Amino acid sequence: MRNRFGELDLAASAAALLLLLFAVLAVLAPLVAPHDPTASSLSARLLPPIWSEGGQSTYLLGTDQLGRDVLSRLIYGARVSLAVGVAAVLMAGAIGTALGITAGYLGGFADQVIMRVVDAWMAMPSLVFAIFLAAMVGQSAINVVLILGLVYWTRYARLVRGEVLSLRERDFVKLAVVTGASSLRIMVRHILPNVVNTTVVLATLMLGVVIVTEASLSFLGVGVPPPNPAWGLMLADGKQAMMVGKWWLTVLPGACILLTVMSASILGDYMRDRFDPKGKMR
Amino acid sequence: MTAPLLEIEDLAVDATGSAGTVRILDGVSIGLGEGETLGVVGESGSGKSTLAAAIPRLLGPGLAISAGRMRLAGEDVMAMTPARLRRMRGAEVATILQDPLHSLTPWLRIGTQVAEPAVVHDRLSWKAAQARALDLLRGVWIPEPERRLRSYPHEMSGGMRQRVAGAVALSCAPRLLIADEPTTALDPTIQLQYLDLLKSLQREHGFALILITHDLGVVARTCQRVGVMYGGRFVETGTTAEVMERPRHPYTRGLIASMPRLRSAGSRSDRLAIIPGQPPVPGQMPPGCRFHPRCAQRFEPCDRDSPPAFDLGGDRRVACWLERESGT
Amino acid sequence: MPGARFFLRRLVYAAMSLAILALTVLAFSKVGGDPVTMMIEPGASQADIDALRQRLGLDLPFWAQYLKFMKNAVTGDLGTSIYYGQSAVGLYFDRLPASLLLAGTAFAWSVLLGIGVGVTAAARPGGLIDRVGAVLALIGMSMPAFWFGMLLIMFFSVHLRWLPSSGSGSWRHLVMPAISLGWYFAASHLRLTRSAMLESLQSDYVRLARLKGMPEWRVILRHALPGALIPVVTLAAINFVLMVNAAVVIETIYAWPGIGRLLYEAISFRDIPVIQAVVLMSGSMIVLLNLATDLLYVAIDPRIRHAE
Repeated sequence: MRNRFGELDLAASAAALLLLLFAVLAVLAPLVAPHDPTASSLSARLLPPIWSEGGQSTYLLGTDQLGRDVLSRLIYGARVSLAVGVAAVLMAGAIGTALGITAGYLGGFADQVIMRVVDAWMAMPSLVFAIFLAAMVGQSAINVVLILGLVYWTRYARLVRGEVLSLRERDFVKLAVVTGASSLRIMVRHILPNVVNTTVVLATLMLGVVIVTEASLSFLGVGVPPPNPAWGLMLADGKQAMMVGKWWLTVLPGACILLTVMSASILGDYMRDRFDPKGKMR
Repeated sequence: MTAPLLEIEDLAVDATGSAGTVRILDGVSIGLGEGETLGVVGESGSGKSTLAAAIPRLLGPGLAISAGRMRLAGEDVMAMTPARLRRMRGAEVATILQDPLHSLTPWLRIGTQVAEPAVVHDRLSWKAAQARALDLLRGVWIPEPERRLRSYPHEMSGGMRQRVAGAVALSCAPRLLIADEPTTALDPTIQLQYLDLLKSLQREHGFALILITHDLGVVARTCQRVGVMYGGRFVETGTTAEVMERPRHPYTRGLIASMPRLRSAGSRSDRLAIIPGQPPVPGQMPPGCRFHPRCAQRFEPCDRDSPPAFDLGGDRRVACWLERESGT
Repeated sequence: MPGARFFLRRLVYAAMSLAILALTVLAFSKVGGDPVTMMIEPGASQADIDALRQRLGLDLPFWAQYLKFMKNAVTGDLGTSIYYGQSAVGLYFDRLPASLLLAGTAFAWSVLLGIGVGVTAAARPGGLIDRVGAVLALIGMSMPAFWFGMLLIMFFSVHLRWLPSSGSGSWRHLVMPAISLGWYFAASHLRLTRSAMLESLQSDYVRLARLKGMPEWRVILRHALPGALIPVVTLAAINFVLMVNAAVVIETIYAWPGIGRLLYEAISFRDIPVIQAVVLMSGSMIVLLNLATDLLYVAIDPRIRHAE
C-alpha cells in the first residue's frame, strides 16, 4: 500500500494484511477451526493454552468453563464481529449518505429537519443510545446491525452534507440543473459519485468504533446472543474465570478486538491520507 | 560601501522532501554596510523570501543552508551556537513579515508582544519593558499608544499592525532590519506612508535595511542599492540609480519596461512590455543561464553554461554572457 | 457583539434538539412492546390492566402521550422506576455524584497527560515521545476500555492483591476504574492537541516569535499553545460529559455505583422509565453543553467577536 508520496506505508500494509487474514479466517471458519465452537466437553474444562502448564495440543489456546475450544471460538468470533461490523458500517453509510445528500442538496425544510435530528441523535452517547435501542428489541445479530446503523448514520450525514454544500456550487452540477435534470437524478448521478471517496474513508475509520460498540453490547448481554461465539460474549464469560486466574479467557478475545480495531484505525488513517489529504474530516 | 555589516558569499539553500533535494538558492553573494539600504527585487519564486529567512538562519521545515558563508559584523553566522543565534535574532537582526494580521499573535496584547524582546534580550523588567514599548509605539506614529498597549492585534487596522511590527523589530535597537514585503498586504494608500516611516526610523536609529519586494517602484523610492533576483540567484546588483537608469541584464530591462512609471523619458511605445514565459520552478531549472528561455538576446553560450557574476567595478555585478562580449 | 439573532437561533436549535430527543425516546420505547404487560402482576383482571394503562396515560393517542411526556420532562418527572419504586430522575441524581467522582478523576489525568504529551510530541515531531505517544494513543483508542479494566483487575487485584477488584468507598477503589476510563480519552486529547499544536507551530506568528529570538518554551507556551487549546477544550468538555454518562461497562465491571451501572441494572430488569431517564439526561446534557460552548466561543475568542 503506497502513501501519497509513493512510498510504501508499512503500518497500513501490515494492517491491511491482518484484516485480510481475519476476514479469510472468518469466511473459512468451518474449514480452519479445529473444533465446533459450541461443542462443550465436560472433561476438558478451563484448560490453559498449550504453552502453559496443563495445556493440551488439541486445544491450542485452551478452553472455557464449558470446555469449548477457545481458538475455534475466536475464529468464529471473527466471523460475527467482522460481519456485524461491516454490515453495520455499510448500513450506517447508506442511510447517512442518502440523508446527507438530501439535506445538503435540497436544503430548506428537508435540511433543517434532517440536521436537527442529526444534532439530537448525536447528542446521545453512542453506547447509551445503543443500549437503549437494544433493550427495546429482541437480541439477535440482525438487530445489532440495525441498532448500530441507527446509532452511527448521523456521522456520515453531517460529513456528506458539508461536502454536498460545496459540490452544489460546482459547474457540472449547475449545468445539470440548467439542462433540466430532476433533483433525484442530479443527486444520484452527479453528487453521489463525488462523495463516495469521503464516505469510504469514514467507513474505514468507523469500523473500529462499531466493533468495540458491538463488543460492549455483547458483553453487557444485549448484543449478539449466546451461544454465538462473539468476542464480547467471550469476555463476559471470561470475567468470572479471570478472578481465579484463568487469564486466557479474557486476554485472548480482547487481544483480537484490539488488533482488529487497531488495523481498522491504521487503515482508516491511510485512506484519509490518500483520499482526503486536505483534511475535510476531523 | 561603508563598514561591512553583512557579508554573504555563495550562499546555497536546499529544500529536502520525499521527492528528493531541490536547490532553492544558488550561489547568492551580496554585501551590506552599516546603515545602508538594500532592495531585493524579484518575482514570486525567485527566492527572495528564502534569502530573508536564511539570514537569521530560521528557514522552514525541510529547508537548510547547504553551502556558503555568512558574516555579521565579522562574526561567522554559520558557526553560531543556538543560544547565540537566538540573541542575534531580535537583538541584532530583526525581521518584519508580510502579513501583520497573521504574524502578530492573536491572543497576546500588543504591549506584551512589543515588550517581549526587551525582557528576553535586554533583561528589563516587564514594567520597564512596557515603558519602552510605549516609546516605541510613539516612535512608529501610533496614536493613543497608552490605550494601544492593551489592545489585541485584530482590534487594529492593517497599517497600524504593520507599524506595531516595526516597533517590535526595533525593540532592542537592531543593526539590521529585514523587511519581507512589508507593504504588499497593505492598502495602496498606506504603502507609501509606511515606507516613509521606515526611512524615518532608519535615519533616527541608524540600522541597515534589507527591503524585499516585487515592486521596483518601492526600491526606486527607498533603496540606495538593489539586487535583482531570478531563479534563486542575483542576476544584477548595483546602486539603484545605476541599475534603474542603465540596466544591463535583459531580465532587469524587462522588469523596468513592464513598470509603467519607470519607463525612461522619451520612450515611444505606449504599450507595456511583458516578459514572455514563466519564471522557472526550483528543481526544473533550465540548463545554462536560468533566464535564457525568456531572453530575447540569448545567443550561443546561454543554453549551455551558467554565466558567472561579472564584476563591473564599484559594486556593480551582472550575471550575463553579454558582459563578456561587450569587453567590459 | 453578535446580534440577538445568533443567540436566538442557537437557542431554538437546542430546544428543537431536546424535543426531538424526547420524541425519539418515546417512539423507540413503543417499539419495545407494551410496558403494561411487563408491569402487571400475574392474575390481574382486565379492569386492573385498563386502569393501569389509563393511569400511565398509555391509552391516549401518540401525540398526546408525547405532549404529556414533554410536559412531565420539563418539570423533571420522567416516570417511576419499576424496580426501585422511586422517581427515575431521582435515581439518576442519586447516582450522579459517584459518576462525577469517577469521571472527574479520569478526566483530570486524561487531560493532564493527554495535553502534556501532545504538546511535547508536537514540539519535537518524529522524536521519541512523539512516536511512543502515537503508538500508545492508537492502542488507547482501539482497545475496549472495559477489557483494559479487566486486565488491570487481573494484574493488580488477582495477581498482586494491591487493589480491590470492585466496589467503591476508598481511593483504592477509584484507581483502576479511573485509569481504565481515562485511557481512551487521554489518547483522544493527545491526538487533537498534537495536531492542533503542529498547525499552530507552522503559523506566521510563531515564526515571528522565533525571529524575535524568543526562547523555545515561550514560543510554545505563550504563542503557539493558547490557540491550539481552543478545539481541545471543546473536545474535553464533551469527553467529560461522556465519561459521566457513558461509562456503562466500566462501572459495571467495577461495580461502581454510578449512572452507567444504573443503566445496566435498568436493562437487566427492563426498567423502562430509568432507561429513558438516563438516555434523556445524558442527551440533554450534551445538547446544553454544545449550546454553551457555541455561545462561549463567541465570547472568548476575540477574533470571532468581530467576525460575526
